[in-house]
Amino acid sequence: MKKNTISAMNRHKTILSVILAVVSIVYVLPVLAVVLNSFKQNTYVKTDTFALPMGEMSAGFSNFVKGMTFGNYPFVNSVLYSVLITVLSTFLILLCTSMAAWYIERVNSLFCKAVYFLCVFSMVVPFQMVMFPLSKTADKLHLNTPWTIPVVYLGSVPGLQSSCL
Amino acid sequence: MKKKIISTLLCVAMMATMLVGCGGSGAKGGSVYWLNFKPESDEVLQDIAATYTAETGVEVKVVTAASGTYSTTLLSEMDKSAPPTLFVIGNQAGVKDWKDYALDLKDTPIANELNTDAYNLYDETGKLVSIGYCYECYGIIVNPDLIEKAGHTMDEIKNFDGLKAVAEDIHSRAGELGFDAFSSSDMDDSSSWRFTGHMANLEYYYEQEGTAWTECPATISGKYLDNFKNLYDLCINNSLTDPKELATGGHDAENEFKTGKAAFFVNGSWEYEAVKTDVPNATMIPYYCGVAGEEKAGLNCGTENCWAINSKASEADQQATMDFMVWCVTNPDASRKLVDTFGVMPYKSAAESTNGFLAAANQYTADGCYVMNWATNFQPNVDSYRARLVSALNQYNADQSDANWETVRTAFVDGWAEEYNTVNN
Amino acid sequence: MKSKKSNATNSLQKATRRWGVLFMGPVLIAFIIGFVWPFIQGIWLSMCQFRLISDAKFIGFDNYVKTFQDASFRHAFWYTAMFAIVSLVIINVLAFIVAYILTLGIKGSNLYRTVFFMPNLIGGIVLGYIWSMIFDGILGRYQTSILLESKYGFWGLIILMCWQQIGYMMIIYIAGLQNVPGDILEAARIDGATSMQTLFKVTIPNVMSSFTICIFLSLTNGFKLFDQNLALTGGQPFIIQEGGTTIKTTEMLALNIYNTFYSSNTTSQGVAQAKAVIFFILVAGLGLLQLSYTRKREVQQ
Repeated sequence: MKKNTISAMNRHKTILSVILAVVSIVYVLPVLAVVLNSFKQNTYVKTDTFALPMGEMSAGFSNFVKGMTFGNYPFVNSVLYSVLITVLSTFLILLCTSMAAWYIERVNSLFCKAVYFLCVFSMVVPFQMVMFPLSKTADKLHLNTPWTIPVVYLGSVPGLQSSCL
Repeated sequence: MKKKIISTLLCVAMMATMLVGCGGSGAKGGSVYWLNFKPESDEVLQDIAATYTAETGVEVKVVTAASGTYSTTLLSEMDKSAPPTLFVIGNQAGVKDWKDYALDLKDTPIANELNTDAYNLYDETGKLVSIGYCYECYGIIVNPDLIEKAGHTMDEIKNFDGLKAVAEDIHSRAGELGFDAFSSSDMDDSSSWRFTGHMANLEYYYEQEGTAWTECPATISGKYLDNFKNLYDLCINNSLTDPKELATGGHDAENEFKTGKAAFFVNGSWEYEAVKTDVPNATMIPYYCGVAGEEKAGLNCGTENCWAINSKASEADQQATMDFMVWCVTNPDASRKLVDTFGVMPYKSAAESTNGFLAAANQYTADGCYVMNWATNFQPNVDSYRARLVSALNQYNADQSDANWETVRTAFVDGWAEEYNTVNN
Repeated sequence: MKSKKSNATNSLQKATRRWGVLFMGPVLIAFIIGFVWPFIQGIWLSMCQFRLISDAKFIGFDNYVKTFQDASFRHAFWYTAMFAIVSLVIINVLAFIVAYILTLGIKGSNLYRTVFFMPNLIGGIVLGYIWSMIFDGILGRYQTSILLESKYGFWGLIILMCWQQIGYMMIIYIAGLQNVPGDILEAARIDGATSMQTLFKVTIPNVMSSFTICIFLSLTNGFKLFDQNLALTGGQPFIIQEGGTTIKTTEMLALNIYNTFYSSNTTSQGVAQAKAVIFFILVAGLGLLQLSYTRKREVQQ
């Protein structure tokens, strides 16, 4: 009897595993389509979205080359800026918010409670609400360069961070 | 103790990071910041800017707004602490929005260099808000070689009936000829303006009935909308692409024309540089749409490329900007490069134009044809007006029923009044 | 004894407090720059007429009056609400099912987890373009497009959001499911509960806190959705009514605010800001309401 249930369970698990495998493949397909299309000539991306980039459709690596070098704003630079901003802001956010969270946890003053509440509150404020004034403020304080944007990020995200800690 | 020092250091480091940005460039004479709205010219302008800086030491920054985002970029850039000193006010809607931020250019050195007043924009008090730095023409670009290959001549195309006969004949024999009549008329953002902005001009132009608008009319009648429909239908139904597939876009119309897959291409003079090597004989014909007397029609000439100087910029910056503009239109090398990317510059000492389509426009004028001015520049609340037109045309492309055309008419005519109200009340 | 202890904590607190500026300072300054000041300015601007923020002029509540008269804003509200609810239900049901299956201990769980989480790493705008390409690739065969039918736009956005969010919610549910004490489950099994009974009577009540977080996140995400909406349909198709008024059928609240801000009219920037304030009150109210409601149903362990 017991053996039966165990083998039944194993069977169930195998079936589930197969179903999940299929779903996973479907899940990856959109990414696959993007990769395929990145090798296609521009014209065929919308007309033959799911075809393999063969024959006259194929653009080889020319899209990649163009993407990296196009115009006066090379993609490489953008990537470097993104890396810079990500590293800096992750560092700043981790350091500063953990310090603040530690402090709030230790010191139980009214002030700290207020700050904590504000942090949670900032999570429900839609970005559109602060978008325009924020860009203005950031510009005024010269915080709109890749080196200083992390400070703005630090200010916009503490809600999520401190409530996690 | 050590810990304290470390933490103090950390604190100082953080403060320093925050203050880094506050340094920046000090004030040394004026500098120029040009917010450009033609992405295709970006490379040339960066080059010009670098040359000017090398020659004079004056800093010139050129920033190009991404295709279709000029007005949003301008809005956010103008609010910054270092706003553009040189920007584009290209139409009446722009004049309405930005006239308070534009310097009166009347009798300034740059205005004195102009050889025509035709492309300047004034506000209602007569202030010269912006001056044209180039002008353009649009119509239907034709590959005459293909027309001949199909057994026709350019002389057959002198009015809408002629155009229709040729286009429909080519389309019906597309399989055998190896090319089609019109290139694709996509309705995505990178292409829809060719119809909602340019081709629509024929309706506005004829509706003016000879007296050019001087300000945006509160309503339009859509009297010549059927003529627009004539040409539009011809375009979408005799082309490489099924009209039902136009909404998504992604067809490369320029490439279709360049590679000889299509004989007609609705676009403007700025395409000349792109097509001249592949189609050396390319020329441009007017929008023939079935209006009486259209044998005397010429091309649509006008501009959205008008310089304005930021009146809120410092005087040194304004002066630097003015000097830079004058240099652009008088320096032989600079104006040569600019004319090659812009087509033509209406200034006394600027380089000669080599643009074949603008030459065609001049030929029409010389032959006594009327120039169709850009009445389209009066479209109220442009982006929103065109967006609804695109939506209506999408429905119509998918199903060319009378009901759907009525929706286009509503978007075209009622939409105008609605947007006019939005902007003016 | 007691007083001694509190004295000790007090002196510790005092010692800590001396360093308050150092610990709280950086976050607080950044927080003021990045949130508090723009937030206050935002509320003030909603009562102003302005084109550039530097020359704002106070005009009172006119902007709010205009907002409530705006049919497109009302449409965007109902559309957003519908979208938020539908996506909330679908995302959470699917995410929970996947999480439940993945905690059963089947082979390859880690791989599946990675696969499901992956779309979360792609940015919103890019997601929108990817899916617009895919949907049009499919719909193009039937001579139509996602831009032509509002129902395609709606369900397209739902599919997109599911693809993006299920993985994220799944991780939260998995964490919750792994924390359900084994002895309770064992007790249930010994008592002869069927697996369905165990699921609904034991497991789910014990992961209620995960539900609280996930529902909160998907509700507010649904309401605040912007990038994906802009990139996928941008509000198309429009209904163009007699007289020229236009309803953008797939335009959500955030996009409506964005479009209002950038439309060319002397008052539109102020109206957009007023809409943003109303939008904020809505999202904040809904989010906090939902939090307090589901919190009550959580089982204390």
